[in-house]
Amino acid sequence: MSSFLFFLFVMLGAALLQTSPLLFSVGGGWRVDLLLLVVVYASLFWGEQQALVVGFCAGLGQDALSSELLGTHALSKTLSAFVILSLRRHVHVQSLVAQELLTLTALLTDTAARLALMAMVHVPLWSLAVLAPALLQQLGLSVLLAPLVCQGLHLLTQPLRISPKHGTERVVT
Amino acid sequence: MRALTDRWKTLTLLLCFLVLSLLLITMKARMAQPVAVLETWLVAAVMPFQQAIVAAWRSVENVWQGYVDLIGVRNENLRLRRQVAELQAQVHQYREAYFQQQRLRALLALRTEMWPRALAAEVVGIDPSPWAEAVIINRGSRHGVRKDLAVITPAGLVGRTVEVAPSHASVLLVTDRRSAVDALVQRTRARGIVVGKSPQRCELRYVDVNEDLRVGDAVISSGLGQVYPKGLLIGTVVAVRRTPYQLFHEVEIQPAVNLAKLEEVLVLVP
Repeated sequence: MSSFLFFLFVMLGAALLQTSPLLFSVGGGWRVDLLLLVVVYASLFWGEQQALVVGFCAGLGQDALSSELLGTHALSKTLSAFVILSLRRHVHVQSLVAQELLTLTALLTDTAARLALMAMVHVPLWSLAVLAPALLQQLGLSVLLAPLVCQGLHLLTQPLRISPKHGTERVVT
Repeated sequence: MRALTDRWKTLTLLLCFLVLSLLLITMKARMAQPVAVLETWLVAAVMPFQQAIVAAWRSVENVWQGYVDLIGVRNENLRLRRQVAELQAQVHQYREAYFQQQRLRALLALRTEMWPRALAAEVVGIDPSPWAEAVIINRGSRHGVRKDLAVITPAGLVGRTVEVAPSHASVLLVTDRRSAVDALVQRTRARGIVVGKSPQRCELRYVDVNEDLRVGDAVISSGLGQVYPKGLLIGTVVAVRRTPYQLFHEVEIQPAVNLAKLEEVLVLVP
């Protein structure tokens, strides 16, 4: 199986989970950006260009399924992927702490980029009192889930016999 | 040298994607046709899977509930285990069917009485954007749904359709920050605009400070704006704050519908 197909299925799976009313709900329920975690995984362990493509495609898919402006998540996730790609050279990506910190960085980049875009195109924003708890909840969930997602996806690549072409290092099982 | 070339390639790709994203945002803001086609295509590709998963999960849930009850029954009376298990499973099925029938009957009554062409729809997905308060329903343009149609339940107003694919549509909930509904306070007929404030609350804006507002007042749609028919219950007032020297009340509203537990809705096709 090619890495393209692998990521296509992974992104489809993440999108299905993320839109599932069985796992998440609107109205103040628990929400986590699983597609961002896939982008984090690709940016940590795969080639630079592959990671950017995954970031853009994951964002585009999320935009198409979302009621937000098309292109918003595509841009924010591409940027997040690039930020991680730039930082990963300076850290030991196998370390859990590094994975957590880079996930936090990706989430903050994604949030900041989307807020900036929304402000630019005059989309009304939530107040800080609403945004802050939602962001904290997302940070917590993302930090908890990021190593699991990385580990899970790494385990998936083994039987499928695919590996990063230009990635730096692989996660240790 | 190789590393430098790779770096340039990465930066070029990044630039291409950023420009493409900005282009898409601009096209979407101007409502260009190709963008709508792309969105429609993606929703049409993903949502049937989601619908199938939801249906399968609900079946498994029914069986699981039956199984859990079966364990209790087995301990209590071994001799009647098989019979009770069958009955329990049936009871669960009937109970679920009964509740569903009650909900559908309420929807049908509402539809027959007030909106004979209204469409019943099931919630099959939620918006993947963590900040968006929107759901996806299993009715689309093929069934007569179009953009900007009001969506309700017997309890009250849910929101309006914002994106429509052939067999699915996105519904922006009244609690979303982008939602705005022209409204009236039922008791005093004071006018204002209901906007999303947080995932569980709305806010009634632009109500004159001289208007008499009380906690518990019902807020209904005014019918202005061509999207929401007049008289739909939006919610009830849960807090009124009067700030000195302000022109308007600060009014907080609890939506009439429990948006976290939406299952079936009615799309008001005119």
